Amino acid sequence: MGGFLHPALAFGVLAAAVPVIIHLLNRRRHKPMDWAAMRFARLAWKRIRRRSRFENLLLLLLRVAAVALFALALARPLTQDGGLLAGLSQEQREVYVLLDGSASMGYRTDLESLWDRALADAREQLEALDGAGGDRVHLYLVGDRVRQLSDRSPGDALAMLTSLEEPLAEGFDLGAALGRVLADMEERNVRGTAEIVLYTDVQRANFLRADGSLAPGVEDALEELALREAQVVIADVTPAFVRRPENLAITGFAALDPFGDPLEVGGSSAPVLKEPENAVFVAELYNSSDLAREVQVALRVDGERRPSQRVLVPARSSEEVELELRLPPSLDGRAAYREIEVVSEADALPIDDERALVVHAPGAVDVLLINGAPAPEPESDELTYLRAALAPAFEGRPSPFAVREATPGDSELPALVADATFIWMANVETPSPALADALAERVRGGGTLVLSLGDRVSPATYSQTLDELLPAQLIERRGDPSRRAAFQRARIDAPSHPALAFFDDERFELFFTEVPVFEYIASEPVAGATVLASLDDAIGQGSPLLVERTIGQGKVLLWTTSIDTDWTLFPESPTSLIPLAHELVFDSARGRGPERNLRIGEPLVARFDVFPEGASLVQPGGAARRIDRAAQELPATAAGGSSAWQLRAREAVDRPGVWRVSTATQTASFAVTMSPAEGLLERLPAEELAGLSPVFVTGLERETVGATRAGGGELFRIFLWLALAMLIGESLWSRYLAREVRA
Amino acid sequence: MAQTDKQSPFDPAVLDALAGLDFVARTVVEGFLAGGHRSPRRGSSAEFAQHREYAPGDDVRHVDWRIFAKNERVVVKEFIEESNLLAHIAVDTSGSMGFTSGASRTARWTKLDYARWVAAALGHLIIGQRDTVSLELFDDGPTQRIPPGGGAPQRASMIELLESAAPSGATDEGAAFTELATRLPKRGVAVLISDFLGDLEPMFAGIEAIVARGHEPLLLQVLDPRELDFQYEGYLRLDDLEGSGSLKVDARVIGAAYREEVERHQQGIAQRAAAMSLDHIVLTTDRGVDTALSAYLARRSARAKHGGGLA
Repeated sequence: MGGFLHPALAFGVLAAAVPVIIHLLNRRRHKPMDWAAMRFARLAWKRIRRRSRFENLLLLLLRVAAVALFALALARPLTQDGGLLAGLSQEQREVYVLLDGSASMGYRTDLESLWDRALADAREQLEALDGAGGDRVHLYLVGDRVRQLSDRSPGDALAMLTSLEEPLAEGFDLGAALGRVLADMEERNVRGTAEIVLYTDVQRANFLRADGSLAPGVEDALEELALREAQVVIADVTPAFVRRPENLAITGFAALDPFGDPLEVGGSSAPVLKEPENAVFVAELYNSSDLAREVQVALRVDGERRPSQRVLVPARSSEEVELELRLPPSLDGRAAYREIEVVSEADALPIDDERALVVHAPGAVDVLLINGAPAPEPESDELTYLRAALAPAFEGRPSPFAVREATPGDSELPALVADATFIWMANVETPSPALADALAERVRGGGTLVLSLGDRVSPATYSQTLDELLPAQLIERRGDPSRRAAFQRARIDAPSHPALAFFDDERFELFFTEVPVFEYIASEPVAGATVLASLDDAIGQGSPLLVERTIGQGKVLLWTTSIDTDWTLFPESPTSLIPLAHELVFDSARGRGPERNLRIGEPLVARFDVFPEGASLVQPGGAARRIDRAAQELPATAAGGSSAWQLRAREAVDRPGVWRVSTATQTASFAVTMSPAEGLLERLPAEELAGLSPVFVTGLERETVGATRAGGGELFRIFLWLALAMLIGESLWSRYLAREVRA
Repeated sequence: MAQTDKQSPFDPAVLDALAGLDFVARTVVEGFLAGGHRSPRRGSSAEFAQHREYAPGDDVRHVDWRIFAKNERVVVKEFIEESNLLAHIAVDTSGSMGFTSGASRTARWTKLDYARWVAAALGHLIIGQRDTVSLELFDDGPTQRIPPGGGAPQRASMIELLESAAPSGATDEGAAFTELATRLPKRGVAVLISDFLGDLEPMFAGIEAIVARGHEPLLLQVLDPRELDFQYEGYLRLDDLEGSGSLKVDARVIGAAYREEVERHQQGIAQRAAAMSLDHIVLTTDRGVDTALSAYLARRSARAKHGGGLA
């Protein structure tokens, strides 16, 4: 024999000792009895002793053999190729059926899709197998990951096939699929007899990288399969008349910033549309066909379709199209997440004809300016420049900022602080304890506080009154008040920070780094604070210029020089102050919380301000199902600080489009997108496929594959028959002996 | 067997509940006589005993025609039988006689118990006929003896000795019978009560010795029914009652062969007894003593009309 399929079960052969043990135990249990006619008993025993021993031994052997053979049959013995038992073995087929479940399988030709064809072909193959004869099917659905649907009889696999309706909205990981097959072959000790069939549309991107090399993991798996002399039958389900599938896919969709670059998410839950009334989106289209195609493309905003525009997409090429949108404000004028979708004309592969994006339109941000050095003359007022920067001319459109201003002595200041999203406190001499408390509470609740310094600020006083908020300990005032000896320049330490991202461009970097700073207050960042920009006041040891500290759900930024022109010329440069101020404000208003733009397979997590009672998950098609998981309350950041509830859907998102989590009072929107590669319907020709590896066998050679596979069958059936024969023999022999005894 | 199912007054099950063996013997014998409708004093000897009313089955030769002629009553004459019968009863008390299978309600007595009842019953019967009887107990040789005698004292002595008998020792029927032959003083009937499980050759050598001394042996073989059919199951350890060791057997396996051996042995006894014109009676302990004896005694009685004998 050539081993066992389940070697561990072979230890069951030890159970053959049970009849022997029972026999021995019975022999030990002789019932004592006084007897008179011993002479006859001895004569009789002497006469039948030998025969009786033989009969009992035969009975025992039959029982032991029956148990042992049954145990061995359970362990699934295998024949050795060319071995003596090879002739007794039963050829059983181990068939590994891989279904390409990637989104491209949804491509339709006439009335049926490639997916339908794959299911039909697989069904036909499975029906030809002999389940009663021990044929076994391992059925896998392969997308971005591998799902095993069945590892039993063909009937079981057929039932699973029937339950499959649509392909996945995923890519296709060939390396993972082959690796999984190898692992299962190893686990079941299957050798060359295995048949591996892959039903696929042979999409080039699934087999090869862009540079022409094999997809990740495929090369190793093919080498291992070659060592096992196994082959993979590539069953191309694309009809012969489809030489090159025609498809126009939307492979990308993004919002653009004013400079035409895609908006970065930058740690927020969604890209922030700073100017919703002047938004521009870009969609990337790919034409897989050999002919240029003109298609209509349109935006859909919160489910409402906007006018379309025509786009000509060259053959086998990509084309970007910009789509302008005047996004109407939300009904309440507050910040809102907006669902933006781009749709093109339906074609043979509908799943890539739409692409969604959720953006964050912050609305008018409540800004509070606390003026520590007001003056009637504009040139002497602390906030002249900042005030101007936050009151831009938007040509009739509403300002994105709702600015209010107060002085430290205003009695309403704590209430104003509580209502503000963004607070800038400039050169305040001695913040009152009430003001300090109001600021701290607002920051913890999610507000942003910027502290700019100046001649009225005393480091000691600030350290005392604002100790809980300061991102850095203020040390001393430094610089050259005469502005003759020296000045410092700024250096950006965190270019990816949303507030400084504007300057992370060689065209605009100078607006930040070349502005002189004459005076500042040297500081030492506290633990957990981040220096976003610093001054070149010492060689390599710059004093912080802009420091950020996160406190609760909000944050505090410290601007260590003034925001008027007393200590620096920064405010005099509109190209410096305006971007900085605007980005700081926008950053304060950007949506926080879980990501709203998801990829297929990612978990969906929604955050709400109030308890999400009766939440349901609404899929792109409109189907809704209740979320039966309990919402988790996020810890409140402080007494009186706002709390939040987080709800995680049980299943990962599996379809592209707009998903929503709805409660009675709130709705959270999510955009789910799939891999753009699935829309690139370029097929890998059979000749090129066969050239990749000898393991790949194309459909034309399929018939020969099964015939060339060699031996190595199973013996369990013959073992079962033998065990049954032993049991029958034991019964007959026992019956014969009983009859003899009775006679 | 039908007779074991009902409790007749002579059933061992009933008799055993009674205290004395003497009563057992009387009950058995009287039951036998009543069942045969015959008088213990009937016979054809010269001494007249009495008249009685004719009963169907009476010998018409004994009808007193003179009284019939006078009174038109049909009466028969009864005579006191004159007998010179001497019976020697020998009872095997070896260890094997202590066996009981307890296989049924009526077979829970040992073979020795059964032999005692048979011996007592016969003694009672013989003494009642005014004949003389002796009693010998033996195992591998004679052990205890009551010389020939008659009357109530003899009967009491026999009962006493039989009650005191206990199974012990090994059997050697050959030696016992040979020695017995030399000790029997006067020719008579030798009633040998044993299980006759020993070797046939020495056994019948002893019996031939008894015959050679002019005695007429009567072989009463007492066996437990299980000794004949061996209806057992499972694994058994057979411990010899006569102390010759043990034997572990599978009862189902050994059963058939055992029965063959027993049957061969029984046939050997029967054949040899027939060859010597001896009566060989097999008494199993599940049968009532009266039933077993009455069958034999009836047969014996019928035979006596043609040639004399015990009856």
